[in-house]
Amino acid sequence: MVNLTTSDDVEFKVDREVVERSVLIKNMLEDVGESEQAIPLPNVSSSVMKKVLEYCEHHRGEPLPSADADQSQDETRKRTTDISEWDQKFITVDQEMLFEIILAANYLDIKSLLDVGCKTVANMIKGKTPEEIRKLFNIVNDFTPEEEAQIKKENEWAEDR
Amino acid sequence: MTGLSPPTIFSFPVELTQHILSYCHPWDVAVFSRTCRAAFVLVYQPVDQYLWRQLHATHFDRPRWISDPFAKKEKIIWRDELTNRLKIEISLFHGPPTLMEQKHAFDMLITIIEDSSWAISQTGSSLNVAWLRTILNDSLLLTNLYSIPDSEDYPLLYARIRAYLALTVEYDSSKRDKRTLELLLGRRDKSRAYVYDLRNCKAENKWGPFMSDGGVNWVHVEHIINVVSLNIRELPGSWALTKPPSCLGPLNASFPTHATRPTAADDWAGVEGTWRRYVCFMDYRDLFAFNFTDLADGPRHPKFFKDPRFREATRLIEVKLQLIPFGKLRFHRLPELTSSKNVQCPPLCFTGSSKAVNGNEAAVEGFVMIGKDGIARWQLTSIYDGHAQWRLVVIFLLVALPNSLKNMVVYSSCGVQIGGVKSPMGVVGIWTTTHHDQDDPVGPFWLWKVDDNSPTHLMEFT
Repeated sequence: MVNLTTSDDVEFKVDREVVERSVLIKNMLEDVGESEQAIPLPNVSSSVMKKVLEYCEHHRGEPLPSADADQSQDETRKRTTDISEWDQKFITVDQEMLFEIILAANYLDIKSLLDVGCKTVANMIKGKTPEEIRKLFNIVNDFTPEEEAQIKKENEWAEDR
Repeated sequence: MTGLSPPTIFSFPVELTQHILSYCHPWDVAVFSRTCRAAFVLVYQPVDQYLWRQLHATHFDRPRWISDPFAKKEKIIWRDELTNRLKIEISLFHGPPTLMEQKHAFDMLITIIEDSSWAISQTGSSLNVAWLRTILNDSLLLTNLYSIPDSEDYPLLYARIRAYLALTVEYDSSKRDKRTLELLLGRRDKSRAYVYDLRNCKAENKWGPFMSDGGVNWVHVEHIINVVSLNIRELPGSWALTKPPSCLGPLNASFPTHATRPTAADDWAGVEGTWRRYVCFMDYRDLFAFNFTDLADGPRHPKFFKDPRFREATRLIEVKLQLIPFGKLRFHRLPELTSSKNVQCPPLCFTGSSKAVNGNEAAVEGFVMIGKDGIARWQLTSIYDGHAQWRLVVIFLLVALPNSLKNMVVYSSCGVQIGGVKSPMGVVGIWTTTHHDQDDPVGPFWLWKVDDNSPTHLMEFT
């Protein structure tokens, strides 16, 4: 069992196999060995950690992507925006939680969870107008008229659809 | 990140936001860039090429020129590679406003098809094929391609694209009605009239689908494809399905991949291995009647082929090839090498066997070389002993053969690879005899690579 402490001082006791889906924690455990002392995770809150551990628990035992998978990804070209059914249900959360999960997955280095989060955000953007995207992410349009002209020029390749 | 305000998409590290965008369609990325300054900078002024490279890799095959030893070594600008491809998607759907843009779109289309051949030869699959399928199904490209009269601008370019797409008009099963069939058969008659016109087989065009300046005559190539593929269509039973793969084959068609078979490092054309070859021909009496008499409004009128008694023969042959050193060629002399491309991709010489139904075997020899235009040209010779040929092909006299070859019949074939080097579509061309007499037989052929363990399944059909 591994002990973890979140930013709000909540302690989690987790199976090593589950928590090792986080490459960050896996490396830490390999470096310092297992101990009674809790690993502090100052960047993750307990509510987010609960979700993350739910994900790790469900996917325990699945092979981890190899370290160089990221570099070779554009060679293997197996990129898809598909998300499995369980993951889809799991990631159906409000936007704040979704973003927190993405940040936690990035920090903890859980590649498959990070991809599920990123694909979900990508799917939210799909087919929307600029105004709809602004509303979705609370973005303020801060372009000057000159800048508007430049954007139009840069985006010519995607115009007239 | 706790206790502070909730994260927004711009509070993410830049690489994280780019990772998210890399899962979007490029059109959506363009829309996102229009939302605010930070979004614009993220998309159009990135510190590295990560986003554009990923977007390209998600939608298109790696451009072949990057791995092409003769391409100028330029820095790859992934954003340009991607937007140049997507731009033509728009023009193919909306119709390009100017002739120049049309030419540009078609040139790019050829690049995209050739890239897909390369990707298939490397990995066994291709993203470009999926893209092409959408374009061909949903845009007016095919309709436009087939409605343009021959006299239009860029006839070679149009014919080249039609050749590359190899009658994909057939693909749509909903269009397999009587009218389409008539249209296709009419097209075959016209193409037969071109392919079997003996004036189109002469020394100036190197006895194949070439122009007198050595360039590929894509109009000729297209006619060959029309004849052979429409003949295959009429073959009995499962032979009608034994055909070279096209861009729009079944969705999960498995391509015989050059990758499954370890090819010699210097085999840039994927010569070694097992091939299938269709050859077509007409009875020599018909060939003469068509070329030299006034039968059916002739000479050389497509109406000739409307006669219900007319028969064209089709043979399926198995060919196995292996590389040999230049010095071992017995029947060929390599032409002079004029292009720098021949240095990086030196001509490949090969030998092998050709097996037809009934045990008709021939020795095969030939070479493949790349032209200035980057297109692979194949030349091959099949040597039958005089006995076996009687059953294989039309009867003709052996008087003009040199003494050393008196007992043999030698066929020579010249073709071009369609769809780029190592393309799954293979090589199409013209076969005739090596001594090229005026009244020698000619006919189209189509040669394509298959897996070594493909069922042999040879046949003769008349």
